[in-house]
Amino acid sequence: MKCTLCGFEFSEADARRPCASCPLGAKCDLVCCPNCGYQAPREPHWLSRLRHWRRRNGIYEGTLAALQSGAVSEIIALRPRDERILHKLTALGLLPGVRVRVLRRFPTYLIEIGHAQIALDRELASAILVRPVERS
Amino acid sequence: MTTCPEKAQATKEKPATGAIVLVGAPNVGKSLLFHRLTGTYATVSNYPGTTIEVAHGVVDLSLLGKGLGDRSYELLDTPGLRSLLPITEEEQITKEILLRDDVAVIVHVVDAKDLERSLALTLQLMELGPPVVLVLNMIDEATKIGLEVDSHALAEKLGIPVVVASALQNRGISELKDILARVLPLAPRPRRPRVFTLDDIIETHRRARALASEVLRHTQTTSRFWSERLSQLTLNPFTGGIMLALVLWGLYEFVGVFGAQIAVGFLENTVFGEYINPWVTQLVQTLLPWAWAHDLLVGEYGIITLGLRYAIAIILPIVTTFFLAFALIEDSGYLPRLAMLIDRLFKGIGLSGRAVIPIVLGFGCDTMATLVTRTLETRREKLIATLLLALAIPCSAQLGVILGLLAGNSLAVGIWAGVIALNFLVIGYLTAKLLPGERSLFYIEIPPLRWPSLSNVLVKTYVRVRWYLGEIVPFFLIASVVIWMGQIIGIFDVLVNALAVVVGAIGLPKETAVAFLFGFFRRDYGAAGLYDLHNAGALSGVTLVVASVTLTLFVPCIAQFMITAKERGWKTAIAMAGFIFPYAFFVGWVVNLVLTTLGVRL
Repeated sequence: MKCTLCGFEFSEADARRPCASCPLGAKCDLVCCPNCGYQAPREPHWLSRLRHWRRRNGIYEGTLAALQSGAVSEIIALRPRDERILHKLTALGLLPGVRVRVLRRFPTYLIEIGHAQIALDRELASAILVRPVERS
Repeated sequence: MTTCPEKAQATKEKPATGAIVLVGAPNVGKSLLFHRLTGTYATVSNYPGTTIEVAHGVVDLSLLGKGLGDRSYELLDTPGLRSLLPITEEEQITKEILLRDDVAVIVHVVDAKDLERSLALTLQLMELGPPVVLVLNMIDEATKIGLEVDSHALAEKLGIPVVVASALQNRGISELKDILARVLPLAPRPRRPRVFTLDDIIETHRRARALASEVLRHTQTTSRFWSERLSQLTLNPFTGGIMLALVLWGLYEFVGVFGAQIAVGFLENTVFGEYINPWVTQLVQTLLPWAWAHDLLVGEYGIITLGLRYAIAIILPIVTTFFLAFALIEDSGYLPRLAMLIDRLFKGIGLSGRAVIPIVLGFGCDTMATLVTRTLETRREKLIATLLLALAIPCSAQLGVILGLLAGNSLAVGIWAGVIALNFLVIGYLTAKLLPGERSLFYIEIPPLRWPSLSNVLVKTYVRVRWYLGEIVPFFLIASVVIWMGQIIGIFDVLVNALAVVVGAIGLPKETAVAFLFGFFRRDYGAAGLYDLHNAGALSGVTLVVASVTLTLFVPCIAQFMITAKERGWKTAIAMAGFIFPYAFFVGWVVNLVLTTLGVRL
């Protein structure tokens, strides 16, 4: 699951043990993030399954593929599976330091870069690491 | 789609002394600029990657330039290139041209709206040696969205001439010619063959962005609200689907109804039936005493009564209306949007969204479309697209005739279309499963929606129709002669009888064998043969659907087969034909069996 406070991802097995002094003890439904110690309710199974499914399909958090439509972000790095993909992204001008806006996610990703719009499939989109930018 | 390269005839008395090369990203207007500079036409459209072959032309600068003497230069229009690390086959072609020894000037054409991303290539080109001239094209569109480019500052910073132009509005063309005339007489600079690494490319992009930010200025943004809104509607799967349906309906009304029924009916029955045929027949019979000559010219399969009539009365109107509609769709910028909508579906059959272009063009002419499969990236994708074109995509002439045949019977049209679509998907899916190879990636730039320019649409339609007719009329005439000879020798009857067995097995009347044999020569020729049979009342209901399905799937025409062999190799082409031939009859047999078992009445 994913910590709601710091965003750290961990498995439930790694979560901190329930607090010893608390009367609820093992029955407590809260889990503690091993990173920041924040307590949050256990994640429902369907959510972790969804996250698993997204990951299997190449939608990694922090990549362009995981952005919501409307989001503006800056490319921080390219993490392509092979050189072919790298060449394409380079040729399209999708390089570190460039700002992109996601216009659509379905049926394919549509991004705006400068005054141009480019459609990309998920494979290409998930090779682009981004960080969110405040809209000016 | 410069399959029909209007190769400009080089002026004979002046051999070209060097080459001026037009380069730039796809869809920035290189071809239109080429047209403006040479007066020669290369296919222009609002779709990236329509130039698949290099077009040559000669620019005569002798009137302009001082010191140019009587030298003339060859102008090369190249397929789109984004960076000097080429990805696709066409980009490789462009790169090779750039490295040729006789390159005198490189003209880099960019979309002024997209300066940020385009300048990187300028910087890369400047390192090759020959002088570079930068053309900021589509300046009208940039101004419209409130973008100002300080071209003087840019020229100063880059150290190369910069021309502001709009090829569409014929702006900046004479300035470009002036600059070329000034740059060309300069002594050729030494070539610096250079290999770019990926890091070099990334570096040029960084410098380009810095440069662009210094020369670009946003004035108040004029609202593009409505066009942007419409653009987004075409990209939404739901509204986009509705629009696609509207586009298809319009296409059907224009090509299927107006072209294939009204125009064909007029030419066929009135012009040929009432005037030309009786008149020519009479003329031939009075002038030539020999019976064989009557048969050859005006007989049942005569050159004039059959060959010419098929070409002019049945095929010409259908093809013209299709190419006209296609040019409109192409120039509006709709095709890349369709590519985006359909990418997911096409991934399932081993293609990517990019393949919509050859596939849609295939509805015009499969031969042309087979050539355009070059724009696809992987070998696997090219192979699958070629097979699907040969199997399941009827060309416009065939489509028009078949729609004409089934007209008025929407159930029959539905069954026919359903069976063909199913075959397209199933065969695509199976081929994708069977063929090894990497999955294709999809990316495409979505150009703004534009009003097609009437002159461009008309010129493009004219060029394509002329190419098509130049290709088919000889085929039709030769086919008439071959059939006439075959009839005399008797081979034709043997073949028809052999085919009649197969045709009979799928429940069709024996006469359709003739139509199938014609199908070898031209797909449409075969369909046109069915049309005649139908008019004679030999076909109806279920048999008509079975015949249409079989003929649609049936072997590609000779021209398409030759191109397939040229593009994919003989072995592949023969293997495809070897698969398609029995398969088409098999599907016909299944359809017949199912329809008769279910007792469907059409």
